[in-house]
Amino acid sequence: MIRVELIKLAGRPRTWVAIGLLCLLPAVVAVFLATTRISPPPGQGAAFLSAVLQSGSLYPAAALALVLPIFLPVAVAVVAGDAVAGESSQGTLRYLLVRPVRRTALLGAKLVAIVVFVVVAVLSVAGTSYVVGVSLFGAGDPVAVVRALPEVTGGDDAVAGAGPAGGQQPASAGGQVGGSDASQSGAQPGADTGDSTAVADDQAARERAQSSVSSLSGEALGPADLAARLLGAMGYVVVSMLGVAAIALFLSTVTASSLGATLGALAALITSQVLVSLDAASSVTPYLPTRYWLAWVDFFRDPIFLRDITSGLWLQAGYVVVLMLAAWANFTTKDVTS
Amino acid sequence: MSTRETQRIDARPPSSGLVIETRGVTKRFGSHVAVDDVDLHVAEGARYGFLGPNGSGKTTMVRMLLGLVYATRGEITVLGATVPNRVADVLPEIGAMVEGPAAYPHLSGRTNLALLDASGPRRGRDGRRRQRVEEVLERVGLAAVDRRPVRTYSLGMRQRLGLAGALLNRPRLLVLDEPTNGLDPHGIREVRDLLIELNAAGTTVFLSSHLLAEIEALCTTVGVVDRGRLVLEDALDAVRGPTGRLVVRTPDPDGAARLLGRAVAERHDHTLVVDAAPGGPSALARHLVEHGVPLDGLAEQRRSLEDVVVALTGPGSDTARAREARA
Amino acid sequence: MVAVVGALLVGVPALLAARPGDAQADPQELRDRIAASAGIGWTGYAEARATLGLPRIAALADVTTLLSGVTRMRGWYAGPDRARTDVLSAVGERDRYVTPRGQAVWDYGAELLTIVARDPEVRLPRSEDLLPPDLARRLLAGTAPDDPATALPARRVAGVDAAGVRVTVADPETTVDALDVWADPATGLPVAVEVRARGVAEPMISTAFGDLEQGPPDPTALEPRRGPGAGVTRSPTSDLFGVLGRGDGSTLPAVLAGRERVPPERRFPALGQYGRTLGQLIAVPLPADFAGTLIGGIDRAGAGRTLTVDGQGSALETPLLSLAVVRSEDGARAWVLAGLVPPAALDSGAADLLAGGRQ
Repeated sequence: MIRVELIKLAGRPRTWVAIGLLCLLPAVVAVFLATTRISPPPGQGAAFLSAVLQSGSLYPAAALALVLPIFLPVAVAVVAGDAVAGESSQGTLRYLLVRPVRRTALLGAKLVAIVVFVVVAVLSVAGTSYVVGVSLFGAGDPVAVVRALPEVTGGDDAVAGAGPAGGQQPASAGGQVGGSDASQSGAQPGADTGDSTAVADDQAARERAQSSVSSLSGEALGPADLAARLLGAMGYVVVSMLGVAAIALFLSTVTASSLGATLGALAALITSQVLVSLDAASSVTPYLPTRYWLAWVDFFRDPIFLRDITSGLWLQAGYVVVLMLAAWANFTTKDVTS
Repeated sequence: MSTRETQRIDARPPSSGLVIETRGVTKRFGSHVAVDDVDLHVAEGARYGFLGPNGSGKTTMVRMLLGLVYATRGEITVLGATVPNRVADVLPEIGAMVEGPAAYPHLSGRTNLALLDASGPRRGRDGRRRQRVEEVLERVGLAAVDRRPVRTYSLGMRQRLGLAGALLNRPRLLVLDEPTNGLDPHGIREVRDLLIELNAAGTTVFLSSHLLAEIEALCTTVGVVDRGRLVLEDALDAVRGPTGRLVVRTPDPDGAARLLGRAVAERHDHTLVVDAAPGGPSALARHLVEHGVPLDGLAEQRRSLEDVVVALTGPGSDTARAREARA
Repeated sequence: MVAVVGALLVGVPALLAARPGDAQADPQELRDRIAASAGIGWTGYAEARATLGLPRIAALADVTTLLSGVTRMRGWYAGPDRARTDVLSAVGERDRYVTPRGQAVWDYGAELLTIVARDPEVRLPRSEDLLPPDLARRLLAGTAPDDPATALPARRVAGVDAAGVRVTVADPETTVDALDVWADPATGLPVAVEVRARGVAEPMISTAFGDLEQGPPDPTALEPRRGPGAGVTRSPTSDLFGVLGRGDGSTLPAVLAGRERVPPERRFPALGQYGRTLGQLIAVPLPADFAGTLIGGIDRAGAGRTLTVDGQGSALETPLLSLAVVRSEDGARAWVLAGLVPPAALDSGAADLLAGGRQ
């Protein structure tokens, strides 16, 4: 069932248009920044925007900051709001149910598909913005960043995948192959000198990379450290979207109109955003879905500040549990009349 | 309240052979009663026609049989399983079309069927899935469809695709709601032949329609629903039984009328409807011919389904309701 | 059922958080312990909420926003001369490192590490002052020993079952009505503080730890860091008062509104500190044109009170903190005057400044 939902999602042009637009915004901003070199004044504008002028390898973080407040939640609300209501208004819901697909299973598969969508969207944003950032602003050394990645990630995520495209140092890349071979399969006859220069290059590249990016606390970030923090931030952003997804999915089981569900979820988010910034509402603030959205920035503090991140994870989990239960209770007892 | 008693003549199959049985099923949407105290009995192997005007609660009833809509009151048993609690157990043996076909418009018909097939309970390997899909496309006459998305299909093609989806399971029971909507006469004939063929192979067909002719042409049993109530459930042959009168066609209606006197019940131009006399049609024919009245035709009068339905339901329920509303 | 689960998810954490503490301590003893807690190391996170409602005055923006909003801070504290405080914002942070050799301030937004040579005792309030231990010790130091201390119900703060003490301030020369401090009864480390002003029901400032771990902090966190590519600058002093305080202090009278001047700190002759209690007044001479800017800023903010003095003066008053900028009639001399004092003290202080200058 999950596979079927993913095929349906992937088969819709809308899905890819949404992801494309998400990737486009940071790219547009990057082009303007790179051509004008006018960064927003400190403390204003999106996080990290002024820092990327020094090193493009931080650009994925800036890109997340750009898409997080509006674009990403809108995309999630559109997809999640359409999940059940869309099938319902299309009439395909009744045919799914008489296959039979159990209503609970359908709801679960929908949620999983939405999560996959968010993951793909966030990875695409991070990946494309890394390429854009590094090619427009340069980095200490992207090759070193990529080389350091396997230590943390296994090397198959979007950041790693995007890295080589940004790498523009053929000499160093050639050395990389020799170096990694040697370390895996022992000695390579006659390649000793080559290896040592590769290692030296590697070291120098790492230092260069290190001297370009700092955490919010001023700590220099090595490529591996930066990659780990970026991954943490991306993961947190994905989780932050779960609350929106759950709200939209619940509304999607209530109404037969996808637009209604999407707008309802967005209205809830805007209300939440307004209340979060209102001192008078401080008694409800900790329970608002957007309260800890910005906590992903805390991954870039030193030491990493986990308090809000943990609260945010619990809060999103709470929203998912309550709203999915509500969605389940509503959907399984509902007459399907469309 | 006038037709509380369902008119039943006989020939109710033993309850063990029923694939659909409902008792006192009622569905309320707010204050509106869509289905009111309906007892259905669909025998294994039957071609059951569920006939009623638009808005009479047919579709709601079909949805309740499939567990899409929950009954307010009453019991439903389909293929031996209570609905809705255990309906999931028997749905794999049911093929259904409810209120028109539906498909993902951006995907091709073949992909739609493959997705529909994949979302059901796991049966067989993926290799067999493709074969199943091709098989049903063939059956409904869509074997030649290409990769065009369903969005570009005509209504008739969508209807066929819907039917194909219903056949994917090789169902024991087909529940079809208005399956010939949007088909041309040729297509209607094809669908009818297909259903008869499937029925001959053992599939029970439950077909709802507002078209009398369709039911009359296809079904063996008929249930008539009016304003949410079942007003008739019987074998079609029994419904269309002889009336005990004879229809006489003659070029000399006046002579015949004079001769038969009070036995003439109705007279339209050259046709007389005559109460049956002792001796039956042959005696009457001889009597008329002997008295010099020429005969063009002579037949037993049979009730038409239409007569029965009109007699039971009165004017169309939409107009009736509109009248009530006005009052 | 869904409603029940929802209520549980909201209610259980709320109940756990609101669970009353059961710590008990003799209030006077607790007060003494708090005063002596400067040696207790800790690592933690605190949030302070100030509701002074000051309008934003351009030249004093740091102070006015600090006292009218929520401040989020992380702290590492090993001792009075070994600490670090990060003031967190959504897009960056500003970290102050206190070391035995001086202070360093890292500003992420400006990509700048500022090394501060001397931090005078009299200075503008800053975020770090709102950390519960610092605020409690600083304010309690200004109370009179015979101000009555009474016990408050215990509270659970950041995992600490904290005993509470209320010190009610008798001195009519200050706006501070009472200080409510909750502290770990074992170590005396303050974990929450509420500052109450006379005639206001709600605390004007409340600060509490959200996370707290007592004991020496990780020493590596206390090393100032300069981000790669960031600039470094040296500053002789930490804020505007420090800069002004190095000027000429001859226009400051010896007594202000009945308060005697405390002997000035070395190298900061122009920082006038009058009194050592909560009712103290701070007076600092201003360049005349800067005073004009400030007066204009206060008047534009629309919340100022024009002082009826022998010159020009505007005051910003809140139930807790009051601040006035005074300029002599000829415009040659000007001062800023501030304190946790009632308006009358501000008026008489302003009059004294103008009179003192004329003599």
